[in-house]
Amino acid sequence: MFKRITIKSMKQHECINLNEEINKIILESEIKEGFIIINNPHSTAGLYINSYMDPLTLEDITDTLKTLVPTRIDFHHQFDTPSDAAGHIKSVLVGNNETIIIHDSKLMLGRSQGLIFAEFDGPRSREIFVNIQGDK
Amino acid sequence: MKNKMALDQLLSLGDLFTNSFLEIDNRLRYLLDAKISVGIKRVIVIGDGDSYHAAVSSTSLFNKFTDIDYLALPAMKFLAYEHDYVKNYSPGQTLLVGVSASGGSKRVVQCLEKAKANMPWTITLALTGNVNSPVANAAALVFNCSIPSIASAPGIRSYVASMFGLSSIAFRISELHYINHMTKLNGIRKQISELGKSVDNLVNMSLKEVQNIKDFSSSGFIMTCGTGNNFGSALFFAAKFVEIGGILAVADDIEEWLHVGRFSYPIESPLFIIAPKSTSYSHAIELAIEAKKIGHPVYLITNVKDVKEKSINYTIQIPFDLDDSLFQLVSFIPSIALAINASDKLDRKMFQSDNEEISIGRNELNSRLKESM
Repeated sequence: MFKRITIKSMKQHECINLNEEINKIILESEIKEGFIIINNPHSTAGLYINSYMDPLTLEDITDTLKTLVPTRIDFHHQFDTPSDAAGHIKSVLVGNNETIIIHDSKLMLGRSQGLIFAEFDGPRSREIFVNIQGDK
Repeated sequence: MKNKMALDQLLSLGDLFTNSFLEIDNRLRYLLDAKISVGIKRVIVIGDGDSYHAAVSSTSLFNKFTDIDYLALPAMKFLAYEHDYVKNYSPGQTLLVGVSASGGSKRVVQCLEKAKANMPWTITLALTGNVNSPVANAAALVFNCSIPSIASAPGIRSYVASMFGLSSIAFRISELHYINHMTKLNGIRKQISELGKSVDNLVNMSLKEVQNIKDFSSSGFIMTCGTGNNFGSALFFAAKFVEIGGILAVADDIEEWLHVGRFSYPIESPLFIIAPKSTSYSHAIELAIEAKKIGHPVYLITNVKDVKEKSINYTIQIPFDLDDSLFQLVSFIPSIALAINASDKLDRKMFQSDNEEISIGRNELNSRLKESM
């Protein structure tokens, strides 16, 4: 089963927890055992799994990514903006897709883990592709 | 049809939007990069004739989309009155844009050369359709705004190309200064490039609509009015009435006309007002009422639907849902249809090209002037 999730980021850098949305899709699919592939098709955003319990953890991750990849004016990629160029690199560092086990109709993540959509050049309208495979 | 060159250009405008805007915009992205753009705090645009009109027409774009100061000046005014008083910003904070479609405007060349010599802290950029021209050679950066050639005169397509170039500069500074996100600006860029079909429709509609307007060709004098960027369109309107129709036409600011222009004769001279739906519309209606009371036939060029004001003799609709800051890209179109129609009625050739004394050209005029001194 294929699904699209639409996201509207509101800031240049933003972390959005997708757990609730993904769990809803799993329930709709009626798949009990299997796996889910989540893909971010944007090259200036990322997808990762990490703790969302304390939102400041996500802020730390974002701050560190910003430190690692400052928005410079000497990027080779000049067609768009320096923020866009930096976003491409952050996206590569974080990655763009995740595969997660579904067990008993739920995402098999750690207690504090969230599937995080990371915006690196917002605000923008984004979408996430989801494919679920398994047994009902 | 004596003015086929003007008509051919008019009929090809849609294609220009479809095929040239994004190409010109893309050329700028590689020229005005982040390193150059990041420090810019002021843009001064200089030009003569249509190039100056394009600079004035682009005022609202820079005001609305960027965080920089914008100044549009006739080249001679910059040379004679402004150059010595331009405040000395830090290096790289002033962008001086010399606009010349042909690349041959002498005053623009002089402006760029003088700026390079006396204002070394300024970034000079030639916005031109000819990259191997004196204007291009006089600037540090050359923004190639060339378009497929149909006719070099009167400047209609080249006026649009200059406005495209200036729009692109405004959008580029806006996204590189993070005033607007590039996705929003890319949306506006796409909107402009997709205007082609609507522009074709407007051209055909304008050519038909001029038949509905009472013949004004014999009035001998025409006034055009607009405010802000629409003052640039009013200047261009007037220029085309002069060049194509051979009719004396003068552009004025709406408020200035209400203060001063209304005292002028002949009172039967037509008044063309350019006003989109928000910024200057109510002001334009005030002007229409006053002008009609005095005795002027009043024509309104607007994108307001169902204009009910009775003082207006005829409304030329621009059926576009465009932001006011972009209205200049299309609002000039009826002026060409009106000027062609007037010149046909008067059986005149554009630029008085059948008058030997007029058509001798500027160079010969200059040499005659030297001989007489």
